[in-house]
Amino acid sequence: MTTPVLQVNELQVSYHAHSGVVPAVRGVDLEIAHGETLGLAGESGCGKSTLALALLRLLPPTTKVTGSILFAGKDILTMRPGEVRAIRWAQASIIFQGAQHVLNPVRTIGRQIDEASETHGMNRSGGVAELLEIVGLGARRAKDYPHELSGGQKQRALIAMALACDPMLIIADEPTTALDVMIQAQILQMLEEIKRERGLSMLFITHDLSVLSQIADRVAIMYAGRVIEVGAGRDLLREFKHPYSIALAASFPVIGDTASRRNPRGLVGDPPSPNDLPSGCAFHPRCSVAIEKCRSTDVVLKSVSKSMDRRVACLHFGGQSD
Amino acid sequence: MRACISVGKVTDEPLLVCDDVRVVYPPRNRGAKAAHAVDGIDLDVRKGEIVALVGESGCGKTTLARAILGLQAMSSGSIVFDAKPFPTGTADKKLFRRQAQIIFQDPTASLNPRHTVYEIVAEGLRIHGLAVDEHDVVVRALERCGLHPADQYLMKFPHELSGGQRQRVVIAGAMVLEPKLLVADEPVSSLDASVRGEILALLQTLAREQAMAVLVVTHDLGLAWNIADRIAVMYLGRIVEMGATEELLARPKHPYTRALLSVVREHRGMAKQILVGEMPDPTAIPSGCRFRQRCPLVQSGEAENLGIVPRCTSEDPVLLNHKDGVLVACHAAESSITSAKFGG
Amino acid sequence: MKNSDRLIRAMIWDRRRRAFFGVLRELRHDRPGFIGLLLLTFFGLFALAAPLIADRSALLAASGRNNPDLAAPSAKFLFGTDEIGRDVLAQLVWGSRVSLFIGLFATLVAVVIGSVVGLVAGYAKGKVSAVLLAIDDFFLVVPFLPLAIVLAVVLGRSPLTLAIVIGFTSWAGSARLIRAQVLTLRERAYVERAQALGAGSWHVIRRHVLPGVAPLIIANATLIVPVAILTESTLSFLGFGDRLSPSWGKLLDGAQSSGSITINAWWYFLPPGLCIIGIVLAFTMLGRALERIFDPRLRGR
Repeated sequence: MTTPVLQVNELQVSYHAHSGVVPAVRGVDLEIAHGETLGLAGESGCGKSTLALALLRLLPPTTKVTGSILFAGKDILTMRPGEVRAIRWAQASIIFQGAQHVLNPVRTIGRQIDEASETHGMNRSGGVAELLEIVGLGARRAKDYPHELSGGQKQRALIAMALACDPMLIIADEPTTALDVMIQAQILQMLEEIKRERGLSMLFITHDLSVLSQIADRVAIMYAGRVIEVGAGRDLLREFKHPYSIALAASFPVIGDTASRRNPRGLVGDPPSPNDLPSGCAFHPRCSVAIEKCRSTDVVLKSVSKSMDRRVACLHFGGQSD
Repeated sequence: MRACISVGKVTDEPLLVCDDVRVVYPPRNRGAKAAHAVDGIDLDVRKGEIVALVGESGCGKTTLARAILGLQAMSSGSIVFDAKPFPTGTADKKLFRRQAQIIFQDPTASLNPRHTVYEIVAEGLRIHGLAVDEHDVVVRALERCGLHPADQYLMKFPHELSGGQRQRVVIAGAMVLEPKLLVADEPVSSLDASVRGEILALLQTLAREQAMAVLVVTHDLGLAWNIADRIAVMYLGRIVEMGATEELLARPKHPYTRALLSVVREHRGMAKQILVGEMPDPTAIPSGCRFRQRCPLVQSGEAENLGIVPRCTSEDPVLLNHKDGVLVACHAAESSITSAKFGG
Repeated sequence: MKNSDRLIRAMIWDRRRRAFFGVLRELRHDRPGFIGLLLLTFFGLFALAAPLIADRSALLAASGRNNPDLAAPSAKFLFGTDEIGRDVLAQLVWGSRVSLFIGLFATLVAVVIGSVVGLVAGYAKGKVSAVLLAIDDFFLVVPFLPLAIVLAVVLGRSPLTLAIVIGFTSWAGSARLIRAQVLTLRERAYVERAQALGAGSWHVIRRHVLPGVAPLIIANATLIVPVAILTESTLSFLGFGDRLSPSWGKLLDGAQSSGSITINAWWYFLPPGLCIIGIVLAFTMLGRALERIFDPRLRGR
């Protein structure tokens, strides 16, 4: 059994605000195998972006991070700064959300991609040009400045940067969110190809479930700092079990499905804010099938299938409701 | 020549009629070209119906929406609202504003952070000096938009509300004027997914109960499927396809609509068609059919087979009445051979 | 109608009260700002207490006849006497009234002109804005002291005219600042919403732009006061001030021309100098603190 590219155990992240300690991530277990794409979906306040940053220790030093994050078996949380930097980009890189804020407006794209590999002492032969070709931008764009690129092109540049040091794992935090559907489709297609050719693993974070159905091998749904459902992509999206997942999926209507025609469905209330979480199961105030026990019991992920990896954090499943 | 569609249940006379509306931005500096953001739009919306104006960014849908409300000057064409020509004088304009309202994309930015919910909702009443029991009207509007008990919300500031609640406040602020037309520019795209359903349901209810004409500008075909009676698909300043939602989404006739649909959802029997490149800039609209450079029919050779390539290169297709009550602007769709091929 | 009226009025006053105490509360945490506020209170009380500290008659030239000239501080004259035997403390305390009055009134003039110009230049487009900007440019570039001197000589030198003259030469910077802020506010989505609701310019300015710009005006005004006071002191020092009223600048002028510096009659020039420095510091510290308090809020929203 090969070591997974990424294994996260009992990860907890809290940060300090003047109102007190805010738990952004409350105990998350994840793993990503070689060449696999794990989709992580959730809404605002669920902790997915915090999780992404925590993986590469990119959070400010005042945040409290506990648990273990293993890259090919080695825990990044116990490493010294030199080792951490070696992991960053060479083993795992990150594609941030909002390309326009991440790119330096006064340096050319080529220079910025170069920077990434230079920092790691790598001298990629044909380097920048090759990367730009791979992401569909074309080598000539290396001398362009960010403002000369469209939104989709900037995102491609970010992906080129993420690939600069041949990482094993790419963490993509909402990489296509601000883009049009067609550009999004182009980029997803490109990511699929790159993934196949290089045997890359990916953690794809998004709020858009329909995107995950196209790119994820496995899907995890986050709510209020916890993973509340996880399972294989194709199977999961058709048959969610957790009430939140079902409601979330219903928010992305399937065109042609008469059930959603003139029938917009959603949840009442709003996703909880991390500094004001409900007791017990964080979802119970909005849940249509909540029972008395939901208010007082802390729910954990339990397996619901013997044949495949399928886990749900709900009292109605996994024999927890008595 | 304008084509018209009627959609059964609603009254026949459209509330809003756009005829060859164009919005052209002059060149920025010497050497630059003018941008034809809206390049000849014919559109109408009836009372009680929800029309979705769908397109990607840069297609001109937001510019058109703002031109309809007079927030953006129209370069040419005519807009007839409630059987009256577009208002020009200040008094006429003010009256028009009472009857046509807009909801913007970002509810947080739309609300003055220094004003309370009460003041925000009452603002419209005060601007128009409507002599009513202001408090009563505000409370009723808030409750109709799902914020109850309204008293709890009156003194709150926008930063104390969630995204969904803010959007409800914005909608309530528009509803106090009892508009006949509501334009919603991406009303839910900046809200969490699970919150969208409620806001969309609210818009749907308001459209029905108030017999209000609603024009929703969006990039999301799923949203159109959810609540729209009719869809108009825009590309580079033009409507390329328009028709009843079920028909258009089940049997799209224009290659652009087909491509969009194919990538958006796992559509049965439709292979994914990812278009190459990006939508051209409105300063550089291609000659002939503006979609031809990315058209799958051209690239696969299909257009060649149909013998329409010369027309695609030189002739700008017009929105024509296809059978099944759908309007399409495509040379291929016109051809009788293809309508048999694509119609099913 | 009455119900909603009362409600609205209560809301507005509540909000103002909250804002005011909010600012005070934040000032307490801002050390320099708080010190500035305390210093100002001290000076304010000092100026108000003038009749209690010294009689007005002590300002007349005649009062010095029986007193020793340029005498060092003693029990009778806490800050000694000037070159004609007048009580320095009396001139200091009555002079504070003049300096403060001119400083504050001049600031009022500058702020009013600057705000109106800034508001109109920022909100209006096209020619109106361009013309106002050109005028503003002129006043920015013209050296204000020579202009103030010329105007003072031409218009007369009573405290009121001096205040107006000083105000008139100090408004240009504020106008620029306010215009910049108005330009930003004008583009806000909530302004567009108000316009979509049917609001005219007046409504937009009154309900959205002005409240947004008010904190900036206040902070800026607080920073203009020291400039105005310094200008007045300079004018008086140069001899262009009011011939009749005492002022700190006048004291400095007297000190310099009577040669008190060479003979080290420190009680003559040190007190007014320190007072000027003190009040300028006080207003500057307070003004900067207010800027700090208001600015992040402005940006955050």
